[in-house]
Amino acid sequence: MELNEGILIHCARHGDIDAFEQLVARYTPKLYRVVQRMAANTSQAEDITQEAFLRVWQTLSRFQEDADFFPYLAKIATNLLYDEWRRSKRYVFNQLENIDETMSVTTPTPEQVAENAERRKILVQAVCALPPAYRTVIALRYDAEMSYQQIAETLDIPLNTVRTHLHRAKAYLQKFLEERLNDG
Amino acid sequence: MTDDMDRLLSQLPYTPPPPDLIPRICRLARARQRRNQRLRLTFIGFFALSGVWFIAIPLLQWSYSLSLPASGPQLLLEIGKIALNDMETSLALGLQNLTMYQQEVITQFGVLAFLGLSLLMVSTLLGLNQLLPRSSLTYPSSYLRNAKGDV
Repeated sequence: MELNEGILIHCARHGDIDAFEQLVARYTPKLYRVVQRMAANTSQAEDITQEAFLRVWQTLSRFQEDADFFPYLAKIATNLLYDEWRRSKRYVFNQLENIDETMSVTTPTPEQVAENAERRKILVQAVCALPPAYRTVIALRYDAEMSYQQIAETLDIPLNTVRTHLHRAKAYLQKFLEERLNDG
Repeated sequence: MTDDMDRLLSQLPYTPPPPDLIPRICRLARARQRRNQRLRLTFIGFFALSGVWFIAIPLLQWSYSLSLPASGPQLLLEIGKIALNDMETSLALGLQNLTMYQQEVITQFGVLAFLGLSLLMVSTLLGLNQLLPRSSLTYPSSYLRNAKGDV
C-alpha cells in the first residue's frame, strides 16, 4: 500500500525514519535527474542528492506540511550546488560522459529516435555549456517538470526573471543547435 | 520552433541514480538519527547530573541538621510506634511533620537546591519525551481526507 505524501511527510516530521525512507525512495530518481543536469559530474550529482536528503531530514520540522515537498527538496539541492560553485570559484562544465540513450525515461517511437537522436545529443552538450542560472531553470522546468511559479519560489527569484532566463536559455540552445546542424 | 525545443528539452537523456544511492541515503539518515538521539540523551544526562549535584550538597547538610534515628531498626521501631497509636494522633502528627518538612525545605534548601530540582525536573520531562513512543497513527483530518484518494 502506497501512502499519501502528506502522511509520509507528517510522520517523517515527527521522526519516523521509515516514512522518510519512503520519501527518499520516491523522490531520489527525480531529484537525481535534476541535479545531474546541473552538476559537474556523476560523483557530484550523487553527493548533492545525498546531502540534500540528509539536510531535509534534519530540517524537516521547519517544513510547512501544506507546501509541496519536491520544490523544497529541489531548493536545498540547488543551494548546495550554488555553494559548490561558489567554493570552486569557477563554473565547471558538465562532464556527464556516460549518458545512456537507452536509459532515457521518455520512450519515443523509432522514427522519433532517428529524427531526434542527433539533435538531443547536441542539445545535451549545449545545456552543459549553459551558465549556471540558465541551466538551473532548464533542469527545474524540463527535468523536474515544475511550473514557472514553483521555479520562482524555489530559486527565490521573480517570476519574470524565470521567464527571461528560460527564454534566453532556449534562444541560446536554438542557436547552438542550428550552428551545429549547419556545420554537420 | 519553441514547441519543438520544449519537446526536445523534456526528452533529454539522463542516467538513472546508481542502485546503491537510495540505501546509502537511508543508512546515513538512520546514522544521523542515532547520533542525534545520543546527543540528546547526553544533554539530558548532563542536566540530570547537574540537578543531582546541586541537590546533593544542601540535602546532606539538611539531613545532618535533623535528629533522625541513627540506625535502620530504630527508625522502623519509631514508625511502628506511630502506627500503633490511634489514627487521629497519627494523622495530626503526620500533617505536623509535613508542615515542618515544608518549612525545613523552604528555610534550609538554598537557591542551588531549587536550581537542582528544576534541572532534574526538566531532564525528567525531556527524558520522558524521548523515551515515550509516539503514535504515528494520529494524523490530522486533512491528511486522512487526502489519503482516501491515494491509498
